[in-house]
Amino acid sequence: MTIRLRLLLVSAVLLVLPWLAAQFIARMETFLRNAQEQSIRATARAVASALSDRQALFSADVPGAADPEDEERRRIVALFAAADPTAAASLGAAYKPSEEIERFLDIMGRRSSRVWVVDTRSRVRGLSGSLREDARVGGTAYNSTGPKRLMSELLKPVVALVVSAPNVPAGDETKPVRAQIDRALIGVSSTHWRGTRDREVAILSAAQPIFVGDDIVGAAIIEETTGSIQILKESALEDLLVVTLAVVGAALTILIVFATRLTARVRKLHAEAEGAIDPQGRIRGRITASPARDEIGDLSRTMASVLGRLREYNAYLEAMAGRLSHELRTPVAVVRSSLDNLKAQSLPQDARVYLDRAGEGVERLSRLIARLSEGTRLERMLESTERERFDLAHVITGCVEGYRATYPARRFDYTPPAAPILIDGVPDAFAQLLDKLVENALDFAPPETAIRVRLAPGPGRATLAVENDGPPLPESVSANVFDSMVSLREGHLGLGLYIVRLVAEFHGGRVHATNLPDGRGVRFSVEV
Amino acid sequence: MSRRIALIEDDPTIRQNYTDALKRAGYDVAAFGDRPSASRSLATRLPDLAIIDVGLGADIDGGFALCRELRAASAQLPIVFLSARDSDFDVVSGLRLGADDYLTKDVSLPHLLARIAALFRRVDAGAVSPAAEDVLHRGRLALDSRRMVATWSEKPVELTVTEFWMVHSLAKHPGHVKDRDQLMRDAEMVVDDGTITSHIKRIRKKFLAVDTAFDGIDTVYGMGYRWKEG
Repeated sequence: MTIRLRLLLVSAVLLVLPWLAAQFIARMETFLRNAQEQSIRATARAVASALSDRQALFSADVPGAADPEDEERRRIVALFAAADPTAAASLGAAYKPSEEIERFLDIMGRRSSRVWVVDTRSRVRGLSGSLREDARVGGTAYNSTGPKRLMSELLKPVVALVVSAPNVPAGDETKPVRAQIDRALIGVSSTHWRGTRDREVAILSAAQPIFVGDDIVGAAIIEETTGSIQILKESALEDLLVVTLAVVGAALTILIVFATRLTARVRKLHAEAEGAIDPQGRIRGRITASPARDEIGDLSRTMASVLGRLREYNAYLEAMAGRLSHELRTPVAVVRSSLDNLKAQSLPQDARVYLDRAGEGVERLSRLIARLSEGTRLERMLESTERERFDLAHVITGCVEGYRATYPARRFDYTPPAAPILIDGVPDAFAQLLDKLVENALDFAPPETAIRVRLAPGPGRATLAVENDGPPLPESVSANVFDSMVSLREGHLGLGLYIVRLVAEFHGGRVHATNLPDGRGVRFSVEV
Repeated sequence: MSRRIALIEDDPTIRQNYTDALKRAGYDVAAFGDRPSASRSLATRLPDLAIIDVGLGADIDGGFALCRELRAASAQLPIVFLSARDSDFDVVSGLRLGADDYLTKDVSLPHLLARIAALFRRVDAGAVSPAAEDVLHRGRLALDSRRMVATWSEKPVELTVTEFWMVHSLAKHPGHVKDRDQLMRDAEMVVDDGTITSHIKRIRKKFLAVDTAFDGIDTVYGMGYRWKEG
C-alpha cells in the first residue's frame, strides 16, 4: 500500500465532520421544536386566560346562530385541515367575528401565527394573523444570490437525505384537530403537530379552553407553522455541509499534494540509490544531496555522503595496487643492484649459491610488483589508446592457438564462430583479458580436464566465456571476485579478474562469474 | 680518457650501488641526489651520458625538468630515464622530452651497462662509416646494429635503444613469431607483457610517422609479433 493511499485512508476520518454537523443540527431541531411547542402553549394559555371571565364577549345572542352545528363544525375542521391561510374569506356564515375579540387578538397575537377563538357552538368569534406571511418570509430566504443558490440546488439531494420532514404524516388530519377542539371545549388543553399539503411545512397547533367562571365558553387555538425552524435547519445544514465539504475537500487536496510530493521525493531517492550501485556492488552513479531541511533531506544527504565515502574508499583500494608497486620498486631495486654488485665480487663458491637464490627471490618479487601495477597501467593504456574496429573472433582464435602451443599438456575446447564478430575497441586489451581468464581457469581446472573457451554472437555484440571443471565458487565471493585484490587463493594478488573487468567495462561490457549446474565447474563470461 | 656519466638519483643506496657498478665498468661517475645540485654542476661541465630518476624526492617530476635542461644544452647527449614509474604516460612523457631510453628500476645492472654501452656505441659510430656486416637489410628496413640506427626507405627512424633491439629481434627472422619472452630477452629488458605491447605500439607509431602505409609488424594474438616480409 502506498503512502498516498494510506494518507487518504487516514484522512477519511475527516468525513465524520459533516455527519457530526448533521447530528448537531438534528438535536438543535428537536430543541427548537420543543421550545416552539412550549411557547405556543404558553401563548394559547395567555390568550385564553386574557379572554376568560368576560361573559360579554361570548354572549349567546349572536345573529345567525341558528345554523346546524354539525355543518359549521365540519367547515371549521376542513379549514383547519387545509390550513388555508385565507380562511377568513371562506368561513362564510360560521365566521361571526366579535369586534372586541378581534381587537384583543390583534393586541395579543403573534406575528407569524394565527389565533382563532371559537365559542361552544364552534363559531369562529375571532381570527387574527396569517400563516402565509411565515411562508413568504421563508421564501425570501431561498432567494439568495448566484453561487450560493447554485450550491444549495446542488446540495438539495444531500440535504434532503439528512433533513427529515416533521414526523407527522401529511394529508387529511381532520380527526385529531376536531378532537383537539372538542377536548378544549371540555376543558383539556393540548398541542398537536400536523402535516400540510406543502410537505416541507408542518403546522403546530395548541388549543386552550376559555372559562367564564367554571363554564367553558370557548376555545383559543393558536397555529404556527414550523417553516421557520425548517428553513433555519435547512440553511444551517447547507452552510455546514458547504463549509465542511469545502474543508474536507481542501484538506484532502492538501494531503494528496503533500503525499505526492513526499512520495515523489522518496521515489527519486530510491531510484537514485538503485541506480548508484550496480548488481556487482560497484558505485556507478551519484546521489544529489537534497538541500531540504527535513528527514528526507537528511536521508538524502546521508546517503550521498555515505556513497561518496564508499566511492573514495573503492578508488583508494583500486589505486592501492598501483601505488604499492611504485613504492616497492625502489627497495627491490636496492636489493637487486646490491646483489648485482655482489656478483661482481670474488666470492667463495658456496656463497654464490645463496646469491643465486636471493636473485631468484628478487626476480619473483619484481614480477609480482609488475603484476600489481598491471591494472593501473592497463587503465592508462586504455585511456590513451584509440579504439579500432576489429574482429574479435580473429583475436580469440589466435590467442587459443597460442595457449595450445604454450600449454601442450592441456586441452582447449574451442570452435571459432562462423562469422567475424566486429567490435570497436582495443584488440590487445582483449587478448590480455583472455590471457587472464585462461590463466585463472588453468589454476583451478583439475589436470586432464579441458578448458572450454566459448565465443558466440549476442546478446549484445558477443559473449565470451571460459569454463573450467574446477571447484565451484563460494556464494560469498562470486559477486566481487572481479574486484581489485580479491582472490580465492593464498599467494595470489587477485588482480587478474580485475583486469578482465577493466577491459570488459572499457568495451561497455559486463562480467559474470557463475557456477555450472551440478557443481561441475565454473564459468566466467564477458558480454560486450 | 674514461667516459663521464652523470647519475641523478634521490635514493642514496641505489645511487651508491649504481655508482659502484658504473665505476667498476670503467666509467667516471658524477652522482647527485637532487635537481639543483645536478643542474649547477652539469651546467659547467656536460657529462657524456646522463642517467636520471624521474621522481627526485619531493620534486616528483624533477627528472623531466632536468632532462629538458640537459637536452637544451646538448642535442647529442645520451639521456636515460631510470624510474620506478612505469606507466605508459610516464614513458611517453620521458621519451617526448628527448630521452634516448626509459628503463624501469627492475633492470639488472648488467642490462643497464649493456644499454649504456649501446648508447655510447651509437654516439661513437656516428663518425665512422658503417661496416657491411653490421647492417641488416629487410626490404626497405635497414638496421645498423653498430650505430644503433634504423632507417626505413633511407629515412631515419628515431628508435630508442630498447625499441631498436626489439625491431632487430623481429626483423632478424622475418615471418617468425617472436613471443614476448623472446622479445624481452633480445631487448635486454625485464618488463611484463603489457609493457611490450606499448613498446610495439610506439615502434609502429614511429614507423608510421615516416611512412603512413607502414604495416611491417604483425600482431599474432596470443603468441607475439612478427616482421612481415616484403
